[in-house]
Amino acid sequence: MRKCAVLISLLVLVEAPTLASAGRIKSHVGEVTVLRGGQLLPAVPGLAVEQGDIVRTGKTGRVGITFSDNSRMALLPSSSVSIDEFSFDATSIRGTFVTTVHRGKVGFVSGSIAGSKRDSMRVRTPTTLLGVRGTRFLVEVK
Amino acid sequence: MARTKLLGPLALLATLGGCAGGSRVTILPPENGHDIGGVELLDRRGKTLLLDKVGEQATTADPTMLRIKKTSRLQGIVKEVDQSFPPPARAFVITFPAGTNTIPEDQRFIFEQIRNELSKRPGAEIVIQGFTDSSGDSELNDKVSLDRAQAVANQMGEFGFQVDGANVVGRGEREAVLKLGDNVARDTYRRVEVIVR
Repeated sequence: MRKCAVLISLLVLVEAPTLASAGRIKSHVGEVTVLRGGQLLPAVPGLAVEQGDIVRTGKTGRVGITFSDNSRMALLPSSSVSIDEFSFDATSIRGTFVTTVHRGKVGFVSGSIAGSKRDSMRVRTPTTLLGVRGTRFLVEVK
Repeated sequence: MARTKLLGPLALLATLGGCAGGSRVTILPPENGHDIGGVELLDRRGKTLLLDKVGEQATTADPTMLRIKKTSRLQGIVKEVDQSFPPPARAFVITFPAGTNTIPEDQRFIFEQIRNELSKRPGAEIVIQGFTDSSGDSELNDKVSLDRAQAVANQMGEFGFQVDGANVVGRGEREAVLKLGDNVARDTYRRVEVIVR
């Protein structure tokens, strides 16, 4: 049994994490857009958010996003965030989640990724790098 | 320890820095009594700072200064952010007698609860996760947990629920081994969680 556990944990280490959609937009008000590969997509509930996307809110825009690891993000007005890296293996509950807050106010509730391994969830700002250990927090960038 | 792990991306951070303005990080109250693990900050000179208490706030301004204080306007900040967070995922638990993967009749009322929860959430999705206890072979437990999750997905499909195949997962005995140790039989771990988020 112990041998099996070791083998499985080794397999888990080399398993390629899923690169499907990172999350979904759940709620929005005002102007909210998703920039994907040069295209601007208007936000609607259920719209998938993918690695590489940049989510932006206008002056009165707000948006709530839930990710596959059950982490959540809230963008307040005049904010911009890019989803730099997202991978999550739902079987082993491991992955990587890296975002950059370019401007505005963005709230985070961490999920399974942050809880699985130190520094697997990171948030960049123009002046700081955050290693998220697991909590709810707000990032503001002027 | 963590400091050395975070130092790697320092070069990247330096390139991001440029002439940017300041950033501020505030620790918000956790939900449902969850633990606060904290947030570790790293500035462009490699200085680190751990925020791990509610209301703690750090500001970074060019060139690299980190400052920590307790904010006096936490309530206002929480109110402002809370209205934009989606609600937390909600899990509905179905337990199974050993060796079975049919949803017991007396637990089917859960479908109505799930339907009700879905109706309250725009853009909702269903995730189905199967679990076993830690008795038996781990590979077999992977299969059993996935079979149960798939069986629940099929039965929910018959009741009109839409479940994406990629959202059906067998987590095997991993959680049980972590919490109970290996080779422990426990009814409450032999379950499927239907997560609505």
